[in-house]
Amino acid sequence: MNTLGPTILYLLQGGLVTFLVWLVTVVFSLPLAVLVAFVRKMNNRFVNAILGVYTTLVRGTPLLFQLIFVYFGVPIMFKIQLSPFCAASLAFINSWTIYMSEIIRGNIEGIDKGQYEAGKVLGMNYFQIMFTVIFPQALVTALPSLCNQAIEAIWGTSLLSTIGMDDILKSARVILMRDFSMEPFIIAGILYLLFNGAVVLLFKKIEERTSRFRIQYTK
Amino acid sequence: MISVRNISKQFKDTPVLQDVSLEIKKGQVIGLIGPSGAGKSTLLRCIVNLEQIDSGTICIDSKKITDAKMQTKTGIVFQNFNLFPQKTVLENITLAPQIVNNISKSKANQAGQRLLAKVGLSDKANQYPSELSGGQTQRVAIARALAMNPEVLLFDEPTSALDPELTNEVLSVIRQLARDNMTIVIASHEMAFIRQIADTVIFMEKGRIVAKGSPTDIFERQTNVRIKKFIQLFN
Ligand SMILES: Nc1ncnc2c1ncn2[C@@H]1O[C@H](COP(=O)(O)OP(=O)(O)OP(=O)(O)O)[C@@H](O)[C@H]1O
Ligand SMILES: [Mg+2]
Repeated sequence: MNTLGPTILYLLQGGLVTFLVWLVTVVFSLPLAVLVAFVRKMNNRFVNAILGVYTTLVRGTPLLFQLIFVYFGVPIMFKIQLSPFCAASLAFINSWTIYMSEIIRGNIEGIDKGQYEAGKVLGMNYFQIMFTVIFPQALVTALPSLCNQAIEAIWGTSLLSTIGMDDILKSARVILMRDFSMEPFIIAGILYLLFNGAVVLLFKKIEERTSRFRIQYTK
Repeated sequence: MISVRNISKQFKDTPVLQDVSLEIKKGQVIGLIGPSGAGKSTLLRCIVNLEQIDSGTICIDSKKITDAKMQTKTGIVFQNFNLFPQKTVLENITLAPQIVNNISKSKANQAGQRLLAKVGLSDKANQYPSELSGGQTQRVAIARALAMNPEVLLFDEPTSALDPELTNEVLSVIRQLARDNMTIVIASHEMAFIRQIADTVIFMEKGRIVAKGSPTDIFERQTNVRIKKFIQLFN
């Protein structure tokens, strides 16, 4: 009974779903997180209060809750149709935007204020200083934490089956039920590990290339 | 050209500058000396609008420096360099001319290369700050400040963070600027250097200008015992 080929193919299809949701999450939430961090940095009391409460809500509830909320709750609230892919992307982007904006905010605090001053005395305005001087540096120092978030986002996709999506894990379970064999699970595990390894490698490469940007002028 | 009139500044309840007045004329080289905590850095930071003054005025050609358009009339070189670490040496110099003055990249690069040649670092254009020595870093910082064509360049202890053997390369760049008639105010503990390049020396203590005069006045004909002691300490 040689089913290995079709099994791998089927799992890879699930892998594609996993990968797409992950990609959309990371690609959209990173720039959005920079934006949210920027807005919070402007220290508008009203805006910060709202974003603060929102952050607490997102960090205080499980991702599964948020996923189900977006998939079932949002269509009722706004009377719209949401495909599982859209719902999952929205829920994930939302959550990772908040988590990553908090990380970036923390790293902005760590940038020496002399950097801001250097920009100011050269005539740059606040916006120019933030986007050409501060954020690029904060993102570099945030890389290890952002890498962790990118990996968490892979694990997060294992929830996709709860809204009816066929990700790797779901695909593995389907075959497991059909064939009563451990093979699909082992292959799924290997696929996860490869995915994970690729992300870690990618971030390692970026960290290496930006390591020369890390320099602190301290007094 | 620049007039500082009766400025005062305090941090919390501590007065740091008390009724300080100062005229900076075109081409003048002013040496600012005084004990630690005298308010030298604060005075320089007020002139470049990094600190707000509580009272008094600072004007350049009778326009207040707090106007955003006035920011690039002054430039400052910090003790701890503050180069942008994620930018190359040349990018450090050309960033502000491009985004503040809207100068084209090629023009900014040309000007940047000229400035690098001036500070003797043409071969470092594409290096990153982390790959430079302290002395080279400070020379790039000087070139970066010059790129905005300030009317006056302030130095806040430009060699204090450097190993002794690296101070000379920075000091000789400053010396050359002084020869080129750049208007300069320099706070420094390098007494010999101040004495050599300054045409006016100001001694500050406890937020006040205590003495002002030619280097000869301050360093040789000094009658104030405290100033004499201070100078001896550093010679
Ligand atoms: N941001 C600040 N907050 C509170 N106090 C400050 C601040 N900056 C400076 N001071 C205080 O103001 C006084 C003057 O400081 P300043 O740095 O201007 O002195 P300085 O003459 O430059 O000394 P040094 O030779 O050590 O550089 C000091 O007592 C210092 O503690
Ligand atoms: Mg100082």
